[in-house]
Amino acid sequence: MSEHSHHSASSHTAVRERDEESTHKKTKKVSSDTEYEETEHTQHQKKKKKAGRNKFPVGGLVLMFALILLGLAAAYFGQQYYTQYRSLKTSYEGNLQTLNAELQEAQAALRLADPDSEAHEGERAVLTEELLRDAQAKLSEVQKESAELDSAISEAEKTVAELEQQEDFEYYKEIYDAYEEGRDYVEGLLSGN
Amino acid sequence: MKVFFRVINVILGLATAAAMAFCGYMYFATTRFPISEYETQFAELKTEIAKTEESTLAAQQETDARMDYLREDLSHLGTEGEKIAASLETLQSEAGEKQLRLETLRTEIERDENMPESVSAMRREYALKIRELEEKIQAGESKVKICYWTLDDGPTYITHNFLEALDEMDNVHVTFFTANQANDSPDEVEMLRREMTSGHSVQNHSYGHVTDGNGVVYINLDSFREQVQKQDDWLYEATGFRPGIFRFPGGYFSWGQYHLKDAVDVLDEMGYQWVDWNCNLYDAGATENLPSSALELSRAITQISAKDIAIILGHDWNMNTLVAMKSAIPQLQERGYVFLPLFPESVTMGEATVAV
Repeated sequence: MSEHSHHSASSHTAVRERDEESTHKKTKKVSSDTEYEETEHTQHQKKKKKAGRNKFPVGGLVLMFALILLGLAAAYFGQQYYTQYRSLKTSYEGNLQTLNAELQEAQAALRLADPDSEAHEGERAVLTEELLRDAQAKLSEVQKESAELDSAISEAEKTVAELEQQEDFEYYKEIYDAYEEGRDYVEGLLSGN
Repeated sequence: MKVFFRVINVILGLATAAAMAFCGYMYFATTRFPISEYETQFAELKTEIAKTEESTLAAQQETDARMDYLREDLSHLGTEGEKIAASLETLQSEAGEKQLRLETLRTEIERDENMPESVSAMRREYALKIRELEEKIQAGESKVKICYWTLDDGPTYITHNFLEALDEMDNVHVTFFTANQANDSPDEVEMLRREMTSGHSVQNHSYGHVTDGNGVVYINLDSFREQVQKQDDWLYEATGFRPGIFRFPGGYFSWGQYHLKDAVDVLDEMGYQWVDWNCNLYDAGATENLPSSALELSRAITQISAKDIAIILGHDWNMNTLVAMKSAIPQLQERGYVFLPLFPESVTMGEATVAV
């Protein structure tokens, strides 16, 4: 498209030059008095045009730099905004994910803590068995202790009976009881009864 | 050249436009980032998390409560648990009773293995309680008054009458200051043992109680020591216990307080205390001059009523004394007196007592 434009522009310039030459030839024919002046003028114009065509396009260069600067600036600020946007988005998305993860964890913990869950039912069943086993062991122990107590009591009763056969036992026992009764009586007096 | 720039500028223009568009888009994207929407979501999520955690805590508590309920009582463990619990309760209750019974038996064994020592220990406990009461009375901290009724010179042929009369009264105990040869009695040993088993105090009043002229008690210190020791041995043989209090025949102060000072030192060496009296029934005169029971009663009431801790001197060979005693004791009880036996631990021992 650009080449085509350039080609069209060149063709157009050539046609125009040819027209100008034709016009010049016609003019030469019309007036010979002014021929010299016209030729000089035409040459001057040609030189001028030629000089104009070879001049460096400063405006284009300036525009180019301006566009480059503008583009760079836009790219720089765009990048800054982009970074900021990504940071914000990453941060908030991250928080959102963290909270979602926390919620899932909490929900998982809730499921685990459910007292009606099979796991807890199982724990209670195990505990019940353990407690019953312990209770049975304790019962056996108490039964054993009870039997030992019976035996000890029997032995002690036998000893007491033997001791009661000692000479003057009843006599001493009566004195002991009398003193004990007296002590209790005085204790009552001390306590105000 | 111009064309070149034009082309470049067009390209740069397009690139710049694209950069600006990107910049603008990112600017709007940044400035219009939906923070509030996120925060709303955060808040909702946090609320939900908190609610879930609360529910979790409640569920855990419920779980723990159910476990605790099981541990709480065997009856919560179903029928089997209930049966075990019932058996345990019965057995433990029985075991408690058995343990108590065993402890009682062991205490009895400990006591019975050496009864004389056990009796002595109990006597000391009793005596210390009496002393505590005496101290409270002296400090004005108790309204109780104590009467130590002492009966000297027994056992006699009428001592059993005194014992029978005393047995009929609740919580009335006296002190017998005994002297082997003061009065004859066919059942002396039996009387002494009866005095002991009735909770009275049996103490030493010398073996012979001879005080006339150069009587054997006070003729010299060796004689005195012998009199105390012989009576001590006789009482030990008869009762199984040695007394700890001596009453001087005729009383300590009756002989003048310096006259028997050395005798007191002898008593100290022998581990004895001594005691006089602060109320006298004057019932020890010659038989034909004995005062009537009414007079003794009057003296007893009058003298005792003036004292918070009274020690009465009487004799268990005088029937008038028995009659007076039976009448006086209830009257004195009404006035707040209690009748206790004298033991060596009493605050009244020694010179604290003033003869009347």
